[in-house]
Formats: sequence, structure tokens, C-alpha cells
Amino acid sequence: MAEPLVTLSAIRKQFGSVLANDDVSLTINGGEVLALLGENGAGKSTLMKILYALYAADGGTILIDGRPTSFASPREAMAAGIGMVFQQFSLVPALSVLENLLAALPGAPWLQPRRSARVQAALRWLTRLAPNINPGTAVRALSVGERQLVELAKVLNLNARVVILDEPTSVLTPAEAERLYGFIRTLAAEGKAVVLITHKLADIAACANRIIVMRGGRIVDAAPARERSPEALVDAMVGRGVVGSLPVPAAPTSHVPVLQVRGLTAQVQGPFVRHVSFELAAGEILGIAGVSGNGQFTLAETLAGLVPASTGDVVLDGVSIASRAHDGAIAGSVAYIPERPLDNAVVAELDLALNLSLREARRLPLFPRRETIVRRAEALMARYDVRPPRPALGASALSGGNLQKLVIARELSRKAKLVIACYPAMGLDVLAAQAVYREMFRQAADGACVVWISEELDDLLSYAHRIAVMHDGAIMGIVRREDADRQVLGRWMAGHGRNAA
Amino acid sequence: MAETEVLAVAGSWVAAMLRSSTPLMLVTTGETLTQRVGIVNLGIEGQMLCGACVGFAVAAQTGSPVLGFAAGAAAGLLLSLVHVALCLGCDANQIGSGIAVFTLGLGFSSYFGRGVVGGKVAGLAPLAASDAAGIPFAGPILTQLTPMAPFAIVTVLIAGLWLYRTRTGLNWRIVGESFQTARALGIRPLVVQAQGILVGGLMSGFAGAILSVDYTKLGPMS
Amino acid sequence: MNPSTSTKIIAVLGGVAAFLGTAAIFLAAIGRPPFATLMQMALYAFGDSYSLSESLVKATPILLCALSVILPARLGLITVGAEGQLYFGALTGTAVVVSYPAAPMIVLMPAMLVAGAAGGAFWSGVAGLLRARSNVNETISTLLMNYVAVLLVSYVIYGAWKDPTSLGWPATIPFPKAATVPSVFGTRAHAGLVVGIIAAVILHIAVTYARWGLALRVLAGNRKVASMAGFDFNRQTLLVMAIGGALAGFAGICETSAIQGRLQAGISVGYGLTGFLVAWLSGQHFLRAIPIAVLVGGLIAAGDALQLYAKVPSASATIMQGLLFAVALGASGLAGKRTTRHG
Repeated sequence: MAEPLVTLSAIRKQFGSVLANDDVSLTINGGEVLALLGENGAGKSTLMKILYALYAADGGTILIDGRPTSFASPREAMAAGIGMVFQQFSLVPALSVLENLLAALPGAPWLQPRRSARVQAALRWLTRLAPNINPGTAVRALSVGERQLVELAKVLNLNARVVILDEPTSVLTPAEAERLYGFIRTLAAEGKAVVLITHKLADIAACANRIIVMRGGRIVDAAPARERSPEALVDAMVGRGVVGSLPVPAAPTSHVPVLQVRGLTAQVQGPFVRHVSFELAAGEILGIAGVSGNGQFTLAETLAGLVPASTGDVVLDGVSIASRAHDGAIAGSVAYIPERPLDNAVVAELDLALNLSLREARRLPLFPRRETIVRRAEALMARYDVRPPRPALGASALSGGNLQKLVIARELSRKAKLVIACYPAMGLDVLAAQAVYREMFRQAADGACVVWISEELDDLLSYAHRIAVMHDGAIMGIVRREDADRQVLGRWMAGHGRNAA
Repeated sequence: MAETEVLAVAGSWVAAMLRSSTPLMLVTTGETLTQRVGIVNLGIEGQMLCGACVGFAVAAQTGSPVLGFAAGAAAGLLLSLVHVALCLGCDANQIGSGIAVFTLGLGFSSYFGRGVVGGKVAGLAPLAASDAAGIPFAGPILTQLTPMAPFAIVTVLIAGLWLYRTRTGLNWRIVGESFQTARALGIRPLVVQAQGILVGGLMSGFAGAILSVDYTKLGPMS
Repeated sequence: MNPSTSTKIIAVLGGVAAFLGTAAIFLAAIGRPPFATLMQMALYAFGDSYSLSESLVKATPILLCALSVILPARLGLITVGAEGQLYFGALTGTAVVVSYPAAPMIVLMPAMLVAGAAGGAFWSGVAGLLRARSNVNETISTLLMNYVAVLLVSYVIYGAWKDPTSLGWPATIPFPKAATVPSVFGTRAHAGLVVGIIAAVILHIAVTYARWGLALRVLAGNRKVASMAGFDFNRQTLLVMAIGGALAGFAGICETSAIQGRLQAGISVGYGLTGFLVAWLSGQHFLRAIPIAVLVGGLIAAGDALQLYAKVPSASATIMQGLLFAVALGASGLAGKRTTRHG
């Protein structure tokens, strides 16, 4: 057996009070695909970022080709042949594809006329991976899948021997993911070591040779891929028997449409929504799938009234609610749970009590009484299990899961007629995600219309009543859960219409 | 009007335009480079004033306008060091720091400028001797402009070429677009930003010196 | 993250020490005995009732201009336009006086003051509108509008409103008694000081305890979330810019009326800029701006006295303001850095 390319021993990393990596040791070998499996927050990304020298480990050693090494910066890691393709790409959107590749090219010439051979050499891997991309286009004009290929080309240009991919398929259509799996297998066949950081079993099944499962900062399982069943992997990821699945929401009792969206068009500096129309009955859950960046967030914000609709209308229970977030009466019947609550749903600088009172803010007295606000906050935090239950804490002190519970406490504590959830479980561990879903389904059971935008097709297929797919700002199609076919949905996500070949 | 007169007037107009825009071109190029690395420096007026003051003083003292330019550029550079120290060293707010630099530049140039007013400097020689004034259109331009005007234009072109067709220029643009991405690529963003601010300081000081030594020849304006 | 109290105290003390140190170095560099001069300046600022009066004269417009910066800052807007708003308010207030010089005080005084405040509100409101409608950066727009306002005042005092009897010196007619703002506290400082103090108190109470203050904090923190709460950024932008501008404009007309006696060049010696400095030094806090304005007013008055008695150009006060500001920025920046240091 050849010597491992990389050996990590007893790696330890602490962020404040969180132990992200606790005595982690593993090896990375050439010619094999190693999958690092684990839930969000398990420590997989952190471990690889330590190898890539973005973070410095608090303890432990790294051996490259058997020699102890410590990199001071990512540049040194890249020089040693370690490349990482990030979840949030490290591409500069405003610059062109060629410039992004040149920036990372080792030995790039100082003077860079566009036609010179040395400059064109930067395109060597790009032409192999994505021959259709024009190197002169700005990265921001590319789709997410194309950007990922540029990012991969960038890493391969470094003659990387170790290629680390961080959650690569979370932003791809099924077809693009298949293409990526092919590239991964080819790279391994050519002798490179590929480390695949993921929380999806589909990735493992497609290309992993060896699996390491992490949970809570530690390695809990390590084995060749063929020796582990999906169930065993899930058990290892989330801990034995902790998680059951939720009861499937009952079908709506009546079919009278309560929410009517007609020809809705909206635009926010780029991302947009085009002629979206659908209807929901009371208690019906509509799941909206699609690759992130195709207008889902804009749709959520337009339904919530935060973005003005340029044409079309949203009618809730007979009342038009488009563009009217300011209206107090409407604010009472619409609940909005966006992704990344710290950025989108709370004011980080304010304390929890004030954040909880935001929906009523305009109806507060001229000189609001602090005690009233605090008492209300305490009651809500107790009811929705927000921890720690201290109303005077700043919003930025809460973990992602607790913050989302806070948002739910604020939004769903009254009976809503329309619940808009936009990637509500993103970044949350399984238990926290389930808590979010439970609340959403409870509202549905009470008669609310639920619009649920999610990147996890499996969740939608398990729980939503109907599923729609968004591509390029438009709805490609809506099917009932019973009639949903993954192939068809995948084609819609890629932009192929109902009747396309 | 006779054709020669029209040409003469047009030539004079172009000459005046180029003369007054020469310092502007330089200071704008400097601040553009600063902003391309992601820093806003509102203190450039203060830097220009210092450059004007020091440049004039040195030119009057030594009789050499070129030394005056160099001294003015150095003065602008030194003042911009304050912005570097505050924004990059102390993480201070860029707007506030720029206003502080502006105030200091205003104060220093008012203070020290008093002693310099009324001095006389010889500017640079114009591009062509005065007997060339008769050449249609180009005559007024050549006789009224000094080498600084074409220098400024060439500077702008070189700065553009440098920013878009060299590796360091690419690095500067990346730092300006995304500090974190620059770090991930192994660039040292703080060093680049410091360089950007200092270059801006150098050019605004230089522009100020041109304004007082070459353009007005009358001394700093407080 | 907010720095802890002990870090803040260290920052303040360190800042004061650093300021005194750099000021001493500057004084030594220009050939003055550093600490003796600093002591002398302190006496010139607050040593006797005359000095105190002069310091308050300077402190009044500085305080009003500082308030005009602090209020928009609570919404997250950075405005450097107090100087221009001051000039424009002086212009509009003077317009009333020049048009009806013989009117009785009971009409002329309030009309003049209201016109001055309205002028400043308008001048600032334009920048606010540009920000609200077209997202024009308010720092740049207010900065540039300063120059325009100063030039407009020059335009009228050289032209339409030039008093023919003031030989050679461009200025308007002297203000009649009916239009002269009275002085207060037995000093030369005018009633604008009282207005400034009252305004600081009212704004502090409003922003800290009223629902309006909550709206400003939410809008400054996260605009999207603020619209979920029903708060309107555009409306609040116009409101805070207008109120701030009104305060600066009021300062402008009061300076013209009480201190200058007529509209002429130099009604403000950089009060707008100094107001910006005081606003920052006070941490954008209305009540703290009052003592800080008095201190900085003392610094400027001392600078004037130094020029008169010790032949040190008064630009030294500008330099010291710059040093003070730079040091304060550095100290608060470092304090913030210490708190956010992470692994």
C-alpha cells in the first residue's frame, strides 16, 4: 500500500466555547475518493480548512508525504498540491473567468496580454471540464453549476494532488451532479486523492471508495464504502435511534383556494420572478424545489410583501397582499421564516425581547414599556424552547437552531393564514430542522396555506402535498406528491420544459 | 471669424482644459487606485493641500520645480500614512479617518503655508518655445503646456494597463472586490491596501504640487 | 460585538493621553514649550469668565452641528454636510431680514429663525431624498453640497444683497435689533446654546425611549427586517436628515444674526467639520455631545487667543482638532479590535 499523501493526527480546534474538532486523525491516499460524511456542524469543513491553512489548528500534526508540515497560508498549501473547492466559492464575481483562473495560477506571468501562450495555459483544465464557457465572461453571469466547474478548474490548474470538495452537489441539478461524479471518478483514476465533504448519501453511493463519518467534532465511524449500508451511515451521522421521521401532514379537507398567486412578477437588482401562478387551499403545503438562485428567495420575499410586485397579484382570503408588508392587518396573517435568520429575520444588534416584538412594533405605544416587552418575550421563549431563555441577550449570541426557533416563536405564535418558509432548515442539525418542520405542519393542520421552499427534494417528497419546481424565475410545473417523479423534477430543475425531449 | 482665429481659440481652449485637468487627472487616478483596493480616502483634498504647500516651499527654496514636485508627492504620501495607520492598523472607520486626514492636511497647510505665500517659483519650461505660438491649433497648446500635461495622460494610460494586464494589478482588483477571497488566494490584502492608500497619497501630493508650482506659480491657496 | 466597559475606559484614557502627547510633540516641533502652552490653552479656554464666554460662543454652533450629524447617524447615515446646511440656513434666514428689515420683532425674529431652520432642513433634505430614492451615498452628496452652499452665500453677498454702504467689504446690511438673537447667561453666546441643549435632551429621550427610536435602531440594523416590522426607510431618512439640517441651519442664522450681525464671508470657521468631529467623539450620543462641544469650543477659542497673544497661527487649533480626531478614531478602532479578536 502506497504511503498516504496526507496524514492528520490528533487535530484539535476550538472556536470560543465550541470544540469543532476533537482529537481527529485520518489519512488521505492517492487514487481514492474519501467521503467525509456528517451533519451540518459536525466539523468536516473545519478539518479540511485546517489542512488548507485557512485556520490554524490548536493541537495535532499534519504530515504531507510522511513529513511533518505546517502551512502558514493557503498559498503554501496550494504550492504543496492541496486544492479546495469551497461551498461559498472563492471566485470574484465581478472579474472574468480567465482573470479568476489567472489569479490562482502558480507561475502566472507578471505581464498578462490576453493572447500570450502562458496566459492561455490557465485555460487548460477549463476547456476539458467545460468547453462551453467563454473565458471572457464575468463570473457573476455564470450559473452556479458553471461556477463550480470554474472553481474546480482553478484547483486543478495547481496540479493539485489532493482535491477537496466541500458540499459540491448542494447547488447542482441532478444531471450536473452526475457529471461531477464522473469527473471525480476520473480524477481518482488518474491518481489524485479526492476528499468529498458531504451530508448526502447519494454522493457517497455514486463515487466514494472510503467513508469517514464525523459527529460533534469527532470521528465516529471509518470503513470502506462497500461495507456500510445507508441506514448504518445515517445512524452514525445522527446517533442511534434519536431521529424518527415526522408524521406526514394530512391532506387538506377542502379544495377552495385560499391563496391565489396570479402572474406574479418581481425583480430585485438581478434575481427575479416571472409570471408565477398557483393556488393553495387551506391547510395545503406546497413545496417549491429547484436549484438555489433561480428566484426562490425573491418569490418568498414577494409573497411576504417585502419586495414590490411589478405585475400580478397575491390574494389571501380575498384580500390582495402584494407589496403591503407595512400594513398591520396583513402582517398579522402572514408569517415569514427565511433562511439564515441572523441575516434575514432578526436585527443582530438588538436583544431577543425587541426582536420578538418586531411584528407588533408599529402598534406599540409611543413610549413602549420595557417590562411588557420582556414579559411577552419570556413567555414566547418558554413556549418554543428557545435557549438560553434570556431576553436581554443580543440576537447574535444564539445558535442557528435557537435563532430559527426564535423566529418561529415570533412568526407562528399567532394563527397565520399564510406561512412562507424559505430554506428554513438550512444550516440546522436534524433535530432543529425537525422542530421547524413540526411547527410548519402544525400551522397547516390549523388551516394555514404553507409555501415551503427547500433544497432537500427528499423532504419535499416526504411531506409536501404538491411540489413545484422553479427555474430561471418561472414555475416549470406543479405535481401532486403521489404523482411526483424524480426524473421529471430533475429535468425541470435543469430548465427542460414539460414536453421537452 | 477667420479660420486662423477659430483655430487659435480652439487651441487655447484645449490648452486651458489640459492645464487645469492635469492635476485632476493625477489625483483622480490616485484615488481610483485606492478605491480599487477597497478603501475610500476622503482626505485627498488635505493631501493635495499639503503637497501644494510643501512643493511650493521646496521649489521656491531650491529653484527646481522638479524637486518641488517630488517634495509635494512625499508630503502627500506622509499624510496618507495617517489613513493607513488608522484604517488598517486601528480598524477605524474609513470615512472618519478620511475627514481626520483632511482636517490635518487643512491645518498643516494653513499653518505652514503662511510663511510661504508671496514667494516665487519658476515653473517648468513649456513644451515649445514661444515662436511656435503661430502654429494653427497646436501653437497655443504647445506654448502653454508644460511636460506635466502629457505626463498626466501617460500616467492614466499606464495605470489602466497596469491594473488590467498585470498580475499585481489583478491582485489589487481582487483585494478590492473581496478581502476574504484575496486571502484565500494567498494575496496579503492588508499590504496591498496599504500600498493603494500610499500610492493615492503620493499622487494627490504630486497633483497639489503641480497645482501650486506649475499651474499658478503664485503660492499655496489656503 | 460591543467593547466591555473596562476596554472603553482604557480607550478613553489612552486616547486622552495620546492626544496630549501628539499635541505636545506638535508644539515642540514648532518651537513652543509643549506643556506650558497646553496649560496656557486651558486657561485661554476656561480660565476666566471672558474665556468661558468665548468658548461658549464657539461651542454653540458646534453643538448644533454635532446634533445634526448624530441624528442621521442613528439611522446609519453618515453626513458631513453641516457646514453647507449652516450656510444655507444663514442664507434663507437672511433673505427674510433683507426683504422685511423694518418688520417688528414679534414677526421678524420667528420668521427669520424658522426660515433659517427650514433652509437647513431643505439643504439636508435634498441629500436625504437622493439617498432614499436613488441610493446616492449621503456622505458624498452632503460633502459636495457644502461647497455649493458656501458659494451661494458668496454669490448673494457680492451681488443682490450687497450693502452699498459697506465699502469694499462684501456683506449685507447690518441686522436690525429686531432680528438680533439675544445672548444668554451673561456671555456673548447666543440663545442658540439653550436651544441646542434642549434639542439634545429631547432627541436623547425620543431616540432612547420612544417607539421612534426603536424604528431607527431596527432600520439601522437590518432594513429588510425593518420592513417586516412596518418601518419605512425612505420616510425616516427624509425625517432625520431634515431635522438635522434644521438644527444646522438654525445655527447658521443665529451665528449670522447674533455673532456677525450681518451675512458675510466667514460666518463659520469650519463649525460643520468640527461638529462632525464632536459627534464622533461623543460616540453619536446626544447628551455627551454637550460637554464635548464645550471642550472643543474651548480648544478653538484657545487657538484664537494664542494667535492674538502668542503669535501662534490659529491654524494650530485646526491641527489639534485633526490630532484629536485621529487619536479618537485610533483608540476606538483598537478597542473594537481587541474585542473581536478571534482564533
